[in-house]
Amino acid sequence: MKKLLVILLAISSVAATAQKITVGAKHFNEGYILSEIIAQLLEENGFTVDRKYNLGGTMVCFKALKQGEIDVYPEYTGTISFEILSSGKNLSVEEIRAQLQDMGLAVAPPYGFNNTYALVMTEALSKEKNIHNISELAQHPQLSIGVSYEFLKRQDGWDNLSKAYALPQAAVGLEHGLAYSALTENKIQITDAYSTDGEIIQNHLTVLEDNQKFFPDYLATSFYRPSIGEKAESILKKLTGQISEREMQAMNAAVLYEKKSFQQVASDFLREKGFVAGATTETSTSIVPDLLSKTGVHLKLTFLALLLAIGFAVPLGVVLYWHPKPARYVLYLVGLLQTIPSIALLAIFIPFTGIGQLPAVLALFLYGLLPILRNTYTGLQGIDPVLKKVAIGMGMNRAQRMRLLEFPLAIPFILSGVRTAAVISVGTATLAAFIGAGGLGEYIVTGLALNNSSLILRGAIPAAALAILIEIAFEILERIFRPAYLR
Amino acid sequence: MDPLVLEHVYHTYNGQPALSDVSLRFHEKKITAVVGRSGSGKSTLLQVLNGMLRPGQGKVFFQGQPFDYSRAAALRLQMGYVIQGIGLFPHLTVAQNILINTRLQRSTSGADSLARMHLLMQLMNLPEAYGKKYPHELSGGEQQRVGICRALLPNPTVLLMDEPLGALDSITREDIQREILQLQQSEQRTVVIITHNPQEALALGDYIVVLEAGKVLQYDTKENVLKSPANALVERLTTTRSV
Ligand SMILES: Nc1ncnc2c1ncn2[C@@H]1O[C@H](COP(=O)(O)OP(=O)(O)OP(=O)(O)O)[C@@H](O)[C@H]1O
Ligand SMILES: [Mg+2]
Repeated sequence: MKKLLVILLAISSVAATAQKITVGAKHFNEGYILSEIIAQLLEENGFTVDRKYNLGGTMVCFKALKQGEIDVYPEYTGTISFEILSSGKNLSVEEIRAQLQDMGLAVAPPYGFNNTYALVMTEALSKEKNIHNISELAQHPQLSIGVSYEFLKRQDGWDNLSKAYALPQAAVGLEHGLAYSALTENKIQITDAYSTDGEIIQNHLTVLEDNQKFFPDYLATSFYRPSIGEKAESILKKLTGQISEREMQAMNAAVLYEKKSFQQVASDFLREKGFVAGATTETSTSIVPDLLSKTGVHLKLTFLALLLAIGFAVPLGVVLYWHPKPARYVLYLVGLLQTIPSIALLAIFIPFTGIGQLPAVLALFLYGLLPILRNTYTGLQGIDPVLKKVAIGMGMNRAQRMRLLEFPLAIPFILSGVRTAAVISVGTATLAAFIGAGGLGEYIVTGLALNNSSLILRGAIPAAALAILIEIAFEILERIFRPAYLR
Repeated sequence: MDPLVLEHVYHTYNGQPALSDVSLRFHEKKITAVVGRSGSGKSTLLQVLNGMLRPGQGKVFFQGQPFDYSRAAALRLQMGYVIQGIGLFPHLTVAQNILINTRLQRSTSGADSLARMHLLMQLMNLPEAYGKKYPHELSGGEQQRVGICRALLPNPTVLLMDEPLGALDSITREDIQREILQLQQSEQRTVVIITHNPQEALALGDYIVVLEAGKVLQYDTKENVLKSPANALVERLTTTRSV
């Protein structure tokens, strides 16, 4: 008995050293940096890490975590309280932990910073007027305040804030993108921001303290599955209280303004904090192999979906041609699929299939159905009725008519449907990155989050080139398959 | 035994009568020409014989048996059928068109079929090189001859032809008529040929059927129809006017 236990222990410890942890990331700057910090920290401690970044919004990440597609991702206590637990009020970390237990999920103690709404002003003005918290604004009614339209309307926005603090100023709405330049040009003196925005450092701004605790807490923390084991949990806990708002602002700014990669920013942070030993190792991977592998994934998604769509839509078109009564309804139904926004269609399958390439291929498959089905059906229908009559008259049965006459004559139509589907598929496949399917869209999605246009182009240009290549390839195919009588 | 027999056949299209009380026996190894004005029901008659139309009333016999519509496709394989408007398959070459029947039945041997194709093309005065051409590269008359070759390839016991020589000049028309007669001498079979041309009916037909508004006005040997036409219309339909 004891022997058995020892063996079991040995096996489990072997398994633990080889344990793989999947780290997810929300699709925005800070999300990437924090995820990369978690990932590198786990790697440093002997875990194998699988990165599934670009997971779109909260719900995609949460579902992925719940279903074990990912093991951990950084989340905010406010988001967990309001969006995930729908509790209607801000919960403390303990309350959150208690409620998550039923779902088999957990949160680590917060990293230390609070990424919530905040009011900001320039450092210079803050010193000059000696304003450090929101209450002190009440003594300066002449200050003009411009806030984002969203902040103007939110429950935890301007209206209730000014009531809570009894502020005399009226706020005007303005586009958030213009707010910082309006501040530095002194057109307005106060605006709203997220407390960890990189812009705060970049534009030398001061965050006014929320001394009455009006804004809900959005404390960042690791949201994880306890199944990762105690060792991994203890590693996540190392980050407790390690990141201040100022540090997070600086890391965001480093990615946004110094154009550092988030891998670099994360590894710099870990080294500074002493979590990782050794000198700086520039992790500059060459673009070409990465680009090739992403292009490969992109093509794989596109062609798998296309093959599936052909394999399904062409036979269905034949069946509808044989039984035209339901054809209108089927075509209408398949047409409806086309009207679902691609992002929604991509997300629909996540509850059933999890994230990754499978739901992406399924969504692309559904998009490809309509053009192929419609062209197959109308191609078959459009065949000269005299020829059909001849075929019947000479004694061909239904299958022979399809094989020898109708299908060959419909091929040019079917092919042009496949071509349309292929181009749609290549284009839509870029969006598949949002649900962790990879491909060229990963550059675009990351580039969008980091506001890095060269990264966006690194994905967009090859994606456009692929679409053109596919057009050319089909041009050639159509020429080969163009029947002699049409040449 | 007469291979094709109709007994009191009626057919209507959406309530409009197209054939009324048609009873006909088509004699074995004879050519029967069906004449009548446009819309008189000639094509309808042929489609009833071929089993493509199932008459509302009356009986259809093929080779002594009531036509079995559940085996229609198989029965049609034994009848050559040349449709009004030719209907060559545009995506197939001339040779592939003529040989199409070999792809419908397993029993046919490739070498025999090729030999027969060459024989038929020769009889129909089609150069062998045409085999590789596509239908659209042929003239209308050549296409019509290919259509006849295609119908004859399996050497059917019955050949049904719907205006096979429509829209041809009279010289070409007479050439093909001669070729059809020549063929009939070498391989005798039961032929039903539709035409609205009196000259053609008289040149080809052993028997003549005159249709008018879906009814049989007269059915007799060519000689008898010429000698004693049933009425003035029959006389008009069977008289070649000299130009
Ligand atoms: N598919 C159809 N549906 C409805 N009516 C039809 C159809 N086919 C033929 N008809 C009608 O039936 C009648 C006989 O037509 P049919 O085709 O047998 O004439 P036809 O003698 O072959 O004429 P033509 O010399 O012009 O070919 C015509 O009045 C025609 O309008
Ligand atoms: Mg007709």
